[in-house]
Amino acid sequence: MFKNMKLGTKIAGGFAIVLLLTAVLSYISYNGMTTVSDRVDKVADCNTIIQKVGVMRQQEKNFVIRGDHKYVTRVDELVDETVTALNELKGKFDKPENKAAIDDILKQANSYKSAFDSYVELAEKKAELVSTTGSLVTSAREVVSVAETMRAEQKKELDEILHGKTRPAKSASNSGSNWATAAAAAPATTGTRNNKQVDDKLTKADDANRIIKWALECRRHEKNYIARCDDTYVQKVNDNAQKIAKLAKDMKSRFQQAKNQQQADQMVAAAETYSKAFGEFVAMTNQQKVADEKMVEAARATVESSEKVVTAQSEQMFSQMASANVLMIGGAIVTILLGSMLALVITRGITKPVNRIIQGLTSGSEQVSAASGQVSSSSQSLAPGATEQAAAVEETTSSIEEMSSMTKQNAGNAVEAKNLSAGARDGAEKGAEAMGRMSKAIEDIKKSSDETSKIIKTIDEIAFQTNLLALNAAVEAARAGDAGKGFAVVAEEVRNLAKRSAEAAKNTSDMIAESVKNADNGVEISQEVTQQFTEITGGIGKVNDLIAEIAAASSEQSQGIEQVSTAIGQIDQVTQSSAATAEESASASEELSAQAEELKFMVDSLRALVEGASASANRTSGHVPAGTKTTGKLGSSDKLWHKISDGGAKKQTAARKAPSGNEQNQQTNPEELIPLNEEETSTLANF
Amino acid sequence: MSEQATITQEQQTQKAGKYLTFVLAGEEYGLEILRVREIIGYMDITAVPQTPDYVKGVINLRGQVIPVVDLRTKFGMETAEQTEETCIIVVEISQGDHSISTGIVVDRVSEVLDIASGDIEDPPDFGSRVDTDFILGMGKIGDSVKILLDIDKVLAGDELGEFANADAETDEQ
Repeated sequence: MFKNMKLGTKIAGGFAIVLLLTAVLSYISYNGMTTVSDRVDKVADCNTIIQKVGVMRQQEKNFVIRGDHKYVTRVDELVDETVTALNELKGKFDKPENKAAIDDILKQANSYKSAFDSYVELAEKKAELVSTTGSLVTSAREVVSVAETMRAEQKKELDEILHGKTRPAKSASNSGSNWATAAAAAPATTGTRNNKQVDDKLTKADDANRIIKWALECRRHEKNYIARCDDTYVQKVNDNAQKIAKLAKDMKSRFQQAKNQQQADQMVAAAETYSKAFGEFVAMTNQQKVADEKMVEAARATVESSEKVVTAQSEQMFSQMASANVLMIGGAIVTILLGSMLALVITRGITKPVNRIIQGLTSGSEQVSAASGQVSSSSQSLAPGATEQAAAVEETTSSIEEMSSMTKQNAGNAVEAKNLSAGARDGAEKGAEAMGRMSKAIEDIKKSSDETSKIIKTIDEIAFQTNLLALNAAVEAARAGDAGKGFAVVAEEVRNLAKRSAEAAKNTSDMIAESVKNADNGVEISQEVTQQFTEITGGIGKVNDLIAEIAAASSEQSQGIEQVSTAIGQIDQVTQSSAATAEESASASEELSAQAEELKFMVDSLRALVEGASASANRTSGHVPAGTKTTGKLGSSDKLWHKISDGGAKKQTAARKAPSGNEQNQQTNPEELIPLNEEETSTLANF
Repeated sequence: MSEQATITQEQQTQKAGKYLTFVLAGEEYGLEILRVREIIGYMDITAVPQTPDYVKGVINLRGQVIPVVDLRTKFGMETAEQTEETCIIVVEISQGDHSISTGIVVDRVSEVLDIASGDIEDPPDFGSRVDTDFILGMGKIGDSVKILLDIDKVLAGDELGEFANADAETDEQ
């Protein structure tokens, strides 16, 4: 099957199989790459999500640290982006477990979002609380301001007590920082007037100072709490607030003035408000902590889930890559093996027949060169042969002319013979008629003989009867005894006569029978003769016809001979041209042998191509010059051949010039003898 | 011995005389001429039923009806086609005290021969089994031998006799 295929088909088939395998391999690798890239894409998405979560956390921390609201929007944006990215990723996954994982991540992201929102809300509230207008600050400030007012009043009163009313402004201006020195100075000034009143004032101022101090501590602890979120500070703040409240209540009881009592009430209320606000603040902080924890948890869960997804995807990716690698390597090995096998088979399939062809071509070219040598020699010998042929043709022409005259004579003779045969036919017909008459006569003879034989029969019967009578007479004579002796003698005599007449009759009868037989014979013979005559007549008729045909044929023959002589004239022409052609073919065969050499060289080149240069190097060396030498001559000979095969009247005259010798001058141009029309010339050229 | 020879001699002398010879199946037979009444050419024979096969029938010989015997059948020979030479010899057979005429069919009648006693010999002895009573003797004529028949014994069939008797009675009536 494979041997019968075309070379092109073989090569194309081999390449097609290899290309098919390559395509399969490419498809496998493409498929693997696509799957891997898909996986990588998903992993990248997951990583983006993880990264986003990280950024989110960062923004969140930024918010926590700086409290700037732009971070909130940033976080919100990031969350939204993450959700969008997750939804996209979910669309990419096919497996329900992966989708469930993505859903889980989404849930975590949402919980993170809600936690963050609550955190932000709390932070805002806290900020409101801790702002200058917040209850915490205002209450604290109120406590401080009331305490300061109180202290300042006490101090003023004390100063009034000690120095009069000249320096209250001075003491008031120094109240913030130098209240201790003032207090120290106060007892010194007032001690003299009214110690009890001074002490009271001092105590009160001191209390106010203490309240201020506690309030400030409260604030400090509050700030500490804000900074550190330690619950010990809460206790401390509460303690201080309670202390303030307690002291304020105590002071109220000690105050006599309604104004001061009112101030103490104000302080108590402020301290309570502060305490309450701080409680709220602490609660909010705790809530924030919870929210923060939630956020952390959600973010971590998100990251963890995403990482899980990433891990799963990368695991799948690696396994797919491994399988794709195995497939690709296997495919590559199969392709290489199959390709090399095919290459081997196809190469063998090509080189084997090509080698065979080369061998055939080599031997063929050798044979061609040998044959062309033979053709050359034979065409050289053909040339004189053609000349001889021309002479023979002339002889033939003369003999044909003789033949033509003889044929005409034949035709005349045939006509004469026809006349003669007609005469012979007449004679034969007459003879047949005479024979008919003769056979009738013989019949008559036979009839009369029959009649005669009847008479003879009668005579024979009479003789028989006579014999019987004689015998009876003899019997009677015997009966008569001696008296009948004489009678017996007579009877004997009669009997003898009867016997003799019977014999004679028998003889006559025999003779007549013979003559009848002869007559019969005669009749038969005459019939035969008649038949022969008829046959002769028929034969003569046929001879007549044949002779007529011969006459016609002879005339036709003479016509034919004339045509033959015309044809021979043409043959003569052709012979001359063929003599020229023989010369041409001799030279052409030389060209042919040169071409055969070239063919050999080409075959060697082909062999070199197929087997490699080394295999045929020794062969090619000898043929190269021969091949190159002939190519130049080839052109001219080709032209000549074309000229010959073109077949025009021109060619014939051109070709006639070729044969050398004296004959050429003696021969006249056949076209002058027999003018040829165009058709004949072309048919002649195709000989 | 001499007496015996004398008797034989006498018998032979009695046998000598004229014989009418005829041919039957190529062989020549002789009949004592005195027993022959007439020789006639073959004529139509009227077949008579319930007779032996050798009795061919009866003929009317000038007003007298006589039986005809086919001698070939009688001798157990093949029957032959009738020819121009076939004849009926009318013989006289002595039947007891009277004689009757009977026709015998023969192939051909030859001639009347005068045979001397010296030329007649006794029939040859073929043994006791073979009956040669109907042969009168053997006539030597030249190189040939002619069988001389005793026609009485040849035609001594009882049926023929009865037939002849019936015939005779018919004649008497």
